[in-house]
Amino acid sequence: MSKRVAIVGGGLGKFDKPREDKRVRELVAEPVKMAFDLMPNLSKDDIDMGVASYFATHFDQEHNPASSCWDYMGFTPKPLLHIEGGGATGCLAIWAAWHYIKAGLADVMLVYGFETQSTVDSSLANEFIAAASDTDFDYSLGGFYTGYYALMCARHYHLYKTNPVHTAMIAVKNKRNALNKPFAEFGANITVEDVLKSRTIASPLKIFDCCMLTDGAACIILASEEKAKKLTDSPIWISGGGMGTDAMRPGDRPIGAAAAWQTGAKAPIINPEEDSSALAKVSYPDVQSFGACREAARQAYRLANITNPLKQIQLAELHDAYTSSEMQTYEDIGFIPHGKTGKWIEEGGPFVDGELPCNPSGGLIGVGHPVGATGIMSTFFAYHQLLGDEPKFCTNSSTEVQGAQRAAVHSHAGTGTYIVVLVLEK
Amino acid sequence: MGKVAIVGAGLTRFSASRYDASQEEMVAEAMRQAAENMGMTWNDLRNEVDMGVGAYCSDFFNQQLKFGATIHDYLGLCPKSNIRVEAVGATGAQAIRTGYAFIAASTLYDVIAVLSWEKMSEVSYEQSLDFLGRNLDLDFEYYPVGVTLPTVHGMMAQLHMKKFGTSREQIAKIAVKNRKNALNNPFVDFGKKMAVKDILISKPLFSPLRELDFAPASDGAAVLIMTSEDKAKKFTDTPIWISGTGCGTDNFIYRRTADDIPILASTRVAAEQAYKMAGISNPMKELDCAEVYDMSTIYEIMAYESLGFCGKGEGGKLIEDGATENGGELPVNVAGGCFGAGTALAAIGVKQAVEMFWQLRGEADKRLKSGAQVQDAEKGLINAESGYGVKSVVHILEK
Amino acid sequence: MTKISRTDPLTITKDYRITYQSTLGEVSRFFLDLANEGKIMGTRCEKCGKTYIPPFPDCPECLGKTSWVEMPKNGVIEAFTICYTQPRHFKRKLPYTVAYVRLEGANTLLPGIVDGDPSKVEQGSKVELKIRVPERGTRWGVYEADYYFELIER
Repeated sequence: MSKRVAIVGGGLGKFDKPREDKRVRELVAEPVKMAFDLMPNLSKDDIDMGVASYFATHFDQEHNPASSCWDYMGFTPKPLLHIEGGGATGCLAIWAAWHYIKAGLADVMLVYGFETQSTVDSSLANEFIAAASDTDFDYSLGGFYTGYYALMCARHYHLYKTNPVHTAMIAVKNKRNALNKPFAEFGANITVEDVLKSRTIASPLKIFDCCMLTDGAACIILASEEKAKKLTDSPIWISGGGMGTDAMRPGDRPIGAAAAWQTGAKAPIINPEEDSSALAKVSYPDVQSFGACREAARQAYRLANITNPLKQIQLAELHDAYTSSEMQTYEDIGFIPHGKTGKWIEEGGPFVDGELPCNPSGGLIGVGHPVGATGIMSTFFAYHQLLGDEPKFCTNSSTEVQGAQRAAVHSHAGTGTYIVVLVLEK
Repeated sequence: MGKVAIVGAGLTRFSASRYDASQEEMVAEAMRQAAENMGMTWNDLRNEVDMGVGAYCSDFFNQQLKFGATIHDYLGLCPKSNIRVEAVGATGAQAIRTGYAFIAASTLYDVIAVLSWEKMSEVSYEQSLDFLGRNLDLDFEYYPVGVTLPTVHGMMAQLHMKKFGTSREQIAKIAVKNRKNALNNPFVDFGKKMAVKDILISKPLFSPLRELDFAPASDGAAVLIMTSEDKAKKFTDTPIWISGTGCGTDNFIYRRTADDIPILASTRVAAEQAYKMAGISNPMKELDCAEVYDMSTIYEIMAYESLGFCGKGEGGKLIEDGATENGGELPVNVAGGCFGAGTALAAIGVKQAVEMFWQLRGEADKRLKSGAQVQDAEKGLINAESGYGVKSVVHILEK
Repeated sequence: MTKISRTDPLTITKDYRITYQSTLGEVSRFFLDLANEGKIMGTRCEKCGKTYIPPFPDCPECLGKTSWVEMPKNGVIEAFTICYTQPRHFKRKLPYTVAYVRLEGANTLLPGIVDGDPSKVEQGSKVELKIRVPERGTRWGVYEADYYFELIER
């Protein structure tokens, strides 16, 4: 059995648009210095290896920021790895670091993620992001990310009888959750009506349904069990992790019964409440669902021994680049069966005081989405929730999920092309 | 023996421009070859793979971001896991190291396909130099002073000659050796019989280095199939084990000194880690062959020293003595290296592993040409580098 | 403008322009003092005393705070090369010499162009840093002043 790995610390920089006060390497040093400040018995010497998480150097003119940051913070000649995977980069980097420690290649790893998106105007920024979709067919015909997600959302509304009020409730939840967070940029007290009346970006998605371009950086420190116990009294274990992929073009995703996974295997059932025969009746995943999320969750839950996610997980930090994406994720991460999501949202299921709080941090919509830093930010908040000191990073304890033992952290890229699920456990 | 093995490999042709194939097609070409060499159908191989590791630097060269996802999808690997690594020239090697980590971690992945490719030809050579130049500090090096990657190699050569008495001829011999060796490699375009004087009369670029002191840019793809110890015998009777892996990093030039600029500290750190894992104390005696990242002539000379093949400053003497020719004490880049194949950034790191895999199984004469086979090779080293060594990766492969 | 350069296979050629608005963040002072005061400003770590030029706002040894210090303008060449080609954005007269100089008191090397005859440059040559308004096209964009090195004659 391979070694256990824990999160022992981390840091967060202010997410903002723009962060004009710092160059990229200074931006990254901010959360790293915070992490060392929070752990007085951790020194630079303790770090064995680094993982740099960032998505597109198109945003900044530097092509090797991983190395410039590593050199800037004085960690040479220690090993360094740069991981990339679109929006999922942050959790992919943590997932990779987890494996490096389990493989015995390092004992303590510093995972740092960042992105600056304010260096170019918004329409060019959106063009860069769209360059992460299929550029031969989808993008060149006018594809852009909000468009892709709007299309997927519309299909979900149609198939599963969800509607714009459900997605609006997610926007209200996430922006409200971010209000007590000095690190977050987009907290606001809005109502469902505000969302429905706001500007349409790509129908049916409104501006409040979308996350905003942001600059920011974050870091997480992982350690093997032996080292973790020396560095902290309360390691938070990564008990499971998984990653799934799906076709680059949403239109290529398997259409047909749930048995039509490309490998010929059946779509795995990860939620005991899910009716596999109901799933077999619709085309799955098609464009309304995220098959990659199902695979990632299947892997993560298998390793973490989770058989009933809704009951065994107490909070989730999900990748809500779009409210509809969060809604779709509830199903494929195994919380709620397809078809029952709308009702669950209406009943307050994912709210802070609900059955399984989702994005008590405020998520991407509330905090911001500097791509390379996002998954790390999600992990940072989930980590502190399990530690029981989340209010330390907030102005009040209104988003604290007390007594949480297990958290799911989820990160998502492309149009559901790459998805990572991690399970954190006390 | 190590816990991770290589059981299959495939290469495409490396050329100045593979305009005949898209990136997807190049990787498929390499994958098909791997399947064929393993005696499997494409479909069978695809079904055995648990995870893909994407190795490419293409973002700027090809304007398609998340290209690894496209390739993974194109090869029919969805919904299996995938991750992408990037480290300029060291990318391929980082991908192998990452594959190693995912298998050795014993979570869920027993068979990993490393999928590497590069298509530098979609942009002009001048543009690609601009992209590579941005690996330096923009505000103090690249923009105001015009320092680029080959500029740094020039400075390293300048210092190496002054400090250690390395001669211009010794440096040029690297290009002569590797271009000649490339004639034994049917997968590469730049094989040529040359003389030291040809290098010395080529266009000066960054003193003392000239145009023929640098490997050209190229396109290519390479695929490696790696497995856990348990699964290895399912695919082949002669798996090649990864018995050591190491990685190191180095400072930007402004944080260095005249004393350490001509020394590859990152390579030394990476080699030390790999040698320790593999139980190697005398590389020159214990290794049978090596593939190093010869993006420039001086770089291979510095690699000899930092990898411990000879003492500090003795790299020039090593090439002059013929020790690194095929038939010498430790043949290096016997299939032509980057001078032969061009620097198809990410693909080179995996190509080194593919060629070493064939070498150690005694198949280099069949898969390449007879001149490329090192007799009785059982243990080899592969080393790939980023820029001027800001990231270095070393692996030890053995039978 | 997208052009078709070949049809077998179909190959298209297109340009892609990116306009950047970049921040110099915490090293802004270096460039502003260079232009407005004619000074070279480095940073010194308050804890370990190391001096960095190019400036490091966070000390790489200890991640501690640094404060700005004016650097002397004389130094020694530790590494150099003569450039016979240059990146696209550069329009200098070729060949020219690039050198990494250790300014007096610095723990790092400052890169710069060495004016004058390249054949006179050696490792260990003493140089003086000078400041001027750059010729059009020899320095990127909006920087109003440029620094370069001049060999100090023996």
